[in-house]
Formats: sequence, C-alpha cells, structure tokens
Amino acid sequence: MRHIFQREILDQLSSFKFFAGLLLVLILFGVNGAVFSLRYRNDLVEYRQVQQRWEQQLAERKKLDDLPQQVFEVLKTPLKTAFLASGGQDRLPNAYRFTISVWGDMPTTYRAFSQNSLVESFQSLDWSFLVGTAFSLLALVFVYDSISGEKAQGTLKMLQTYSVSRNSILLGKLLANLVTLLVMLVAGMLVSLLLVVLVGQIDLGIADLIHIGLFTGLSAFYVTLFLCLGMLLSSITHRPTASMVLGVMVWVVSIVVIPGVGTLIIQRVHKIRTTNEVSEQAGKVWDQIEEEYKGESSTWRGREMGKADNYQAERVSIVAQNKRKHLQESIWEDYLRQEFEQAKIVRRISSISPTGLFEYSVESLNGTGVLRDESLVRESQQYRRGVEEWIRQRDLADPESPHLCFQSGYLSLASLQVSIVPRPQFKEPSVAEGLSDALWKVIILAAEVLAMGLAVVLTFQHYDVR
Amino acid sequence: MSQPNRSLLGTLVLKELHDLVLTLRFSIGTALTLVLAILAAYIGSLDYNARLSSYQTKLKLNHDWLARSAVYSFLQPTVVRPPEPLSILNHGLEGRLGTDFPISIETETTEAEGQNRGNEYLAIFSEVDLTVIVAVILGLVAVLFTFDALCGEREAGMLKLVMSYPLSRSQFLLGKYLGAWLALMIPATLACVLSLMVMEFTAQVHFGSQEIVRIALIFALFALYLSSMLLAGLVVSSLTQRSSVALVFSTFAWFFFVTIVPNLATMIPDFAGDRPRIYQQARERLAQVDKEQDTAYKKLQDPRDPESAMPRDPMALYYYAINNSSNGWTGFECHFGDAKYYDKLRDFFGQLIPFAMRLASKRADIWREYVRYRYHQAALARGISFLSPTAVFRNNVTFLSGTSEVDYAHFIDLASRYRNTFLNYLQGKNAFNSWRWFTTDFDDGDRPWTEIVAGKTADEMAASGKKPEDVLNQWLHDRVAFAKFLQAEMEREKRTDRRLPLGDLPAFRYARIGTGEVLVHGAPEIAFLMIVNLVLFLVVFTRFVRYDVR
Repeated sequence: MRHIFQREILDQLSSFKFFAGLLLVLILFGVNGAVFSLRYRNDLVEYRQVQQRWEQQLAERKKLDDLPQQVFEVLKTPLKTAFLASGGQDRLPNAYRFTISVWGDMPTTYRAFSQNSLVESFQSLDWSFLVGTAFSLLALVFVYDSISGEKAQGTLKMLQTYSVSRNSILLGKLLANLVTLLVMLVAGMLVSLLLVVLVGQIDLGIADLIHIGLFTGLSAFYVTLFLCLGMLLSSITHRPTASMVLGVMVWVVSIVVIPGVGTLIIQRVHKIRTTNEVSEQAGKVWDQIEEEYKGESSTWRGREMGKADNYQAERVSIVAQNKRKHLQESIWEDYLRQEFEQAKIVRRISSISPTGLFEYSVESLNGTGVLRDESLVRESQQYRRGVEEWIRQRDLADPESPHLCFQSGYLSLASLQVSIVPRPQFKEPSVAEGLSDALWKVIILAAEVLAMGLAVVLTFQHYDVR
Repeated sequence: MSQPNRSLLGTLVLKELHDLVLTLRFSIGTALTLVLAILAAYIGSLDYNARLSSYQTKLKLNHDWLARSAVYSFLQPTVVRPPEPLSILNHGLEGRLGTDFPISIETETTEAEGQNRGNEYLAIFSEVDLTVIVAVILGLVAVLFTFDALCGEREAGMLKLVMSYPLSRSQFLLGKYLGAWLALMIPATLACVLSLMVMEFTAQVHFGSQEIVRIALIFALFALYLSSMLLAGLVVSSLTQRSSVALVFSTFAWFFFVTIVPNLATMIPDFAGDRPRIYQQARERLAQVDKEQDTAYKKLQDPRDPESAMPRDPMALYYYAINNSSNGWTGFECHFGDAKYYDKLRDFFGQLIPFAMRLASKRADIWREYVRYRYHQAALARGISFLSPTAVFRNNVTFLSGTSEVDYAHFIDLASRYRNTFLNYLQGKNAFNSWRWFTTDFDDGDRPWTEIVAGKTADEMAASGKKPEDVLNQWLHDRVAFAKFLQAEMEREKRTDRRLPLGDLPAFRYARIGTGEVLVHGAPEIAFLMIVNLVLFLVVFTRFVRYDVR
C-alpha cells in the first residue's frame, strides 16, 4: 500500500490540478485574511464608539431618579475568530438593549453598529465557507478520475497483477489525496493567519488556537467524505468526464439545493408569528390593564402633590404598570425564543447535506452561531436583574424617596456617581460549551464519513477493472 | 452552394440539441431546476401573500388611527410601500429594506422602518428564487454543456469527421452554440412558465401591462446570461486540449463567477469602507442638535410642566388641564383646563412647532449624508460585480423586478413629498395656531376641572386662596365623585363627533418607477452582457480557426 500511496501522492503533487488549486486556495485565503483583518479593526472602532456614546449618555444622569430613563446596552465583543467561522456575527443582532423605566421600550436585540441595508446580504467568506465549498469541489477534482481514469488509461488492470488488495488501493489513494489537500489547506490557513495577526493585529489566545486545531481536524473529516464520494462516483461510472459531471451535480445539491430548500420550507415547517402580530398581542395588554384597574392604572400627581397621602394613587398605578410591562415583556421574550428555535431548525434541515452539517459543527465548535446569540440574551437578562436590584437597594437607603420602582420622578433625588453604576460584561461561550454543543453534529459527520467509506469499498470490490 | 450549407447548419443545430437533451447533465439539471423553481415560486407566493396582507393591515391601521384622531398633534399618518409582485421572481432587497414611512412634525423621516420583519436571525441564510436558480444551476448546466464541445469532440475523433463536410468553421461553431442554447432554453422556459403559473394560482397578484413587459425583459435577460455562460464554456473548450482540464477550468470559473465575485462585491465595501467614521460623525452632529434642542427648549418655558415654571405660582394648578397624554415632543392632548391656560399653550406651540420642524430638517440633512455614503457603497458593490456575468445578471434582474435600492429611493422621495403636502394641509387648517392642536375643549362639552369639582371658575378658585393640590386630593379621595368623573372620561373616548374632519386630507398615491427609466438605469449591465457575448464569441472563433482538429 505504501507504494500506491507514494505513487499517487507524487502524481498529484506534480499535477496541474495541484498548482491551479493551490493558487486558488492561496488567493481565497489571502482575501479572507485581508478582509477579516480590516473588518475586525473596524468592528473594534465601532465597539468603542458605541461604548463611548453610552458612557456620555450615562454621564448626564446626575441622580438615581434619572436612571430609569437611561437606555442600557450589552454589546457582544467583536469575535476574534470570525475569520474562521463568523456564524453570521457580522450581520446578526449584536446587542441587547433595555430600559428600566416602567414606560420604557421592550427589551430587544438589535445591531448596534452602522450597517448598509442598501446592499444585499452576503455569505461570509470565512474558513468554514471556503473549506465547505471550495475544498469539497477540489476533493472531487482530485479524485474524479482516480478509478475511472485509470481504467480508461489501462493502468488499473496492471495494478491487479501486483499482489495488492483492492482495499489498500483505495486506502492508498485516499490518504495520498487527503495529504495533498491538507497541504493546500494548511498553506492557505498560514497565509490567512499571517494577515490576520500582522495586519489585523488580532492577538489569538489559547482558546483560539484550540479552535483552529479542532477546525483542521473537522476539515480533514469533511474532505475525506468528499474524497470517498469522488472515488465512489468514479467507480460507478466508466468515463472520467461522466464522474466529474455527476460529482459537480451532487456538489451543487449539497451546497446550494439542500440549504436553499431549508430556508424555503422553514416557514411552512415551523411557523412563527410576525412582529406585527406580536405587537398587536402586546398592544392588547394595555386594554386589559385598563379594564382591570378601571381608569386608575395611570394616575401621577407629581412628587409634591402625591406626598399629601403618601402617593396612594401612584402606588396602585405602579403596580398596574409593572404588571402590564411584565406581561408585554413575556410576550416578546417568548417570540425571541421562537426565533432562536427557528434558526436552529433551519440549520438542522441544512445539515441533511454534509456541507450544512460541517458548517453547523464548525459554528458550534467556534462558539458562534445561535449559541453566541443565546449567550448574549441570557447574560443581558442577568445583568438587567443586577442593575434593577442595585437601583432598588440604593433607593431604599434614601428615606426621602417615594420608592416607586421604576418611575422617574418618584425615586431618590440623592446625587449619583455614574462610575459606580454596574457595567455589563459579555462573556464568550467557553470551549467546553462549544464542544458539548457540537458533539452530536461531529458524531453524525464521522458516521457519514464511515458510511461513505464503506460504500466505496463495497462498490470497488465488484468493479470490473478491464 | 448556400442552400445546402443552410440546411447543413440546421441539421447540425438539431443534432447538437438532440445529443445534449439525451445526456445525464440535461436531465439532472432540468429536474433540479424545475423542482426548485416550483418550490421557490410556491413559497415565494405564500410569502408575498403574507406581505400583502400585512400591507393591507397597516393601511387599515393607519386609516383607523387617523379616523380616531381628535386633535391635530396626534394626526400622524404612516405611508406604507406595497410589496412588489415581481419580488417572487427576484427577492432583491425586498426583505432588507423598510416599508413604513411615519410622518410627523418633529421628525423628517429619511429611511423607512421595517415594522413587520420576519425572523431576523434567518437573515444569514440566502434566499432561493427563480433568478438564483437560473444564475447558479442553469449557469452550471450551461458550462457543462459546452466545456467539451470542441476538445471533447476532438478527443472522440468526431471533430475531423465533421470538418470533412462542406461546412465552414464559423458555421460549425454557430451550430454548436445554437444547439446548446436551445437545449438550455428548454429548462429555462419551462421554469419561467411553471413559476408564472404557480404565481397565478397561489399569489394574489394582478399582472398589468407593465408587469408583463418586465417579465418579458427578465426572460430576455435569462437568455442573454445563459448565452454568455455557454460561450464561456466554449472559450475554455477552445483553449484546452484535454476535456478533463477543460472541465476543471470551467468548474472553477463558474465557482468564481457565481460564488466568489457576488459575495466579494457586497463584502468589500462593507468591510473595508469608511462607514463607521461617517456614522460616528452623523451621531456626534445629531448629539449636538440634541443639546441645541435642550437649551432652546428651556428658554421657551413649557406651560405643561407646573413644577418647573419660574416664578412658581401656587395657584397655577387651577388653570391646569388634568388629563394629559403625550406623543413625542409636540404630540399632546389634554382636557379640563382653563381658557387662559389654553391660550398660553397655543402661543407656546405656535413657537415650538416651527422650531421643531427646523430641527427635524437639520437632523434629516445630517442623516442624509450618511445615507448618501451608503448609496455610494451600493454603487461600488455594483461596480465590483462587473467581474462576473452572473453578478451583473442578478443586479439587472433586481432593477427590473422593482426590488433594488433605486426603487426604495423613489419611494422615500414620494413619501417625503407627501410629508410636505401634509404639512401644507395642516398649515391651511391653521392647526399650528389653534387650540385644536392639543384639545377638543370646549367644543366637546368638557369644562375646566374647577367647574366640575367645585362649580367655580379657575379665577374664582385662585381668589379664594385655597391650595389647588388640597382641592384636587380631596376630590380624588371622594370615591363616588371621582368614579363618576372617570366613567365620563371613558365615555368621551368613544364619541365620534369629536373626531377631526378629514374629508379633504390628500391621500398618498404610490407609483412605481417607469419601465423605461429602469432600463436606462440598468443599461450598463445590459450592455456589459451583450459585449461579453460578442467578445467571447470572437475569442472562440479566432481560436477555433486555428484549432487542430486531428
């Protein structure tokens, strides 16, 4: 088998396909490195700008009573490994906004950076995309004639005269091509990393290096799958051109058709409401509270007037409005959960194709995708509870305050040092979280590779080499 | 000699067509195309119906809101853009851009809001529509038809045989090309026809003459684009000696045209541009306008805030309107106040409203600079797209289907003009200088609260020396009297005679950009596709003239 491996690898490394493919890979990964370096720099600038604007706004609040009007924001830090797998982080909501005031807007996720809605959306040319599309195509290009081509040239029946089993032929070819493609991949990754570290000045930590290592391993799996597929097609057809044509068609189904169908049918498979409908439902809560409190749900006489009877009417009103806000917020939180669920289902449908599965796994391993978005919401809600409790405690410490949480005009007038207001801190999902999220997907991918390998072995056993 | 040549060409075309139709590429390609086209048309139609019903709901909500408005400051119409029927064939920017344009005194809207968005977490998944199917799948099939048209036939030994006939090289090329083009137009035409049929039965669209013309133009673009991909395959075929090499080249070229360039074209302006700086600039200037607003507002002395009036008049509350609701800065409705207070309010708003409009204009101008930069980025993306016929093709279909940024700009323009019409209407009704801006008293029978509580005018109560807070609190604690008052208030909301008379309010009329104008706008793209076709054919011809057929 070693001879076959050596022969095959020398063949491939000196072929035109290798040089053309290597050139393509270096260009693509180079563009990836350059573009994501620039992107990260811009993102960092915008991140600081958003924080600065928020701090400036906060600095205007002189007393605790002003805080309910302050819009609080929790921002995701720009993702350092976006060049590996961005998981849509460059387009999806990256911040969670809430107001403490009982009259505040509903908490919502949104995109805090500048964006251009006048230009169509794009697919991020990150490593996961490049390996998912280009490397699968390259794998097919390298092995489409591995069997049918050799048969056409007449060299296959010569191999049979040597005492070498059919399985070792397959294994030799597979390993040789895998090594060739991995050489190209590593070369591309190095080019991209060089640009990212030197131009983008992204300093990668241990966690990021682990992510890169895991990605390389997963890519090897994925490439093996397509190598096996290519060899399978090569042994089904008898002319190399036919194998390649069939290969390209299968590739298109895997890359374009199945994910496309996923997005098309998601609304029929798992329908959720539109924001209009949710707004309507939330709007009805106003009427519901009005009915329940019979016109006494919103009486505010001012700090001076209300003091006369210790804010009796206002206490009823604040209970009513807190109830209303709580009901409306649960409606919106529920909707957000449904959105996440839908996003996960689309990814699952796309995972029917190995490319979809690969991209979904890389996303999870890299700690991005839905995992990161859900992290943001969870941590923001925690932060919010912390801030509310903090305000409540400080307000209670002031005996002069009417203690109507949280209505501006009825809280403590004591002066406030904004530097002591608790600040948000976004924590990335840990490596362990990413691994556990990706576990099932990686297992299924490994199973698919094994199945494809078995298929090739079985088909080649019965192949007529003459 | 010409007559047998022409029939020979015809035979060649038919032979090529016949051969291609029998291949696996044709059957798989056609099957994929038709299945996806039907699915995309069906789902697209259902989505369109949902957007249409949302549009109609918004129109109704707007109509109801206007009909319920009692005072002019709450008269805030929203102009809505209808969904584009041809967006089913090409989504374009339809999902990304907003459709709602709210109109008010204090805001000069520059960008539409997207109030009825779908799941924004699905935004990263690309949408499949007929244009994408033709661009990607049929583009691939085109390249697979012709990559071995020359080198493959040469390898099979067929080329020297065919060349032995009395057929010129150019006629041979033309025959190959036409045969392949006809074979490719079969799935393209079927996909179009089936999509239109699905749309006819599922979507609530009505195809007028304008739509039919645009659909015909889109179909012509399909033909032009597919022709250019066929020729690209032919070029590769004429430049290589082995069909396996030609296949690799052709697939890489297709990958580059279909995936890399369109994504780069939208990615590069986004990633490498200066947008964050310009956005920050806009935000800083807006913050300055906010400060200007704050200082000027303090000088105006708002009579609505009894605790901030200087000097503090302890009797002021007697004149005050005790039922208030606000909508923004200038939206305000109140009841049960005294005439003196209302006069003060009217004068205040008389000053505030022009000031608010000036500031709105200023803010809009600042934001428009940022929007203009984004249009430049869109133009840059369009420019980079010229590296790929696929990208150029898709951009052009976006123009024709009415889902481009040009159509959006047109809507914003129309809506902005309507805002001016609306403001002139308000001016004509003297809305800015009358009580009707903020109250329906005393036309609706509501009297000042002092008369309801104590049966005396505000002046009489002020003269009595009693503190108004005590009078109000006492009345609040009288459960019977206060409940009667609340009941009367809730009744008032339901009365229709206090609504504003809006019979003469001009309505908003939306009209799409004319087809001629759209064609002019897309002229560079159309010209590019035509030139590409010409150039590629010339290249193939020059190469093939000296091609070794043995």
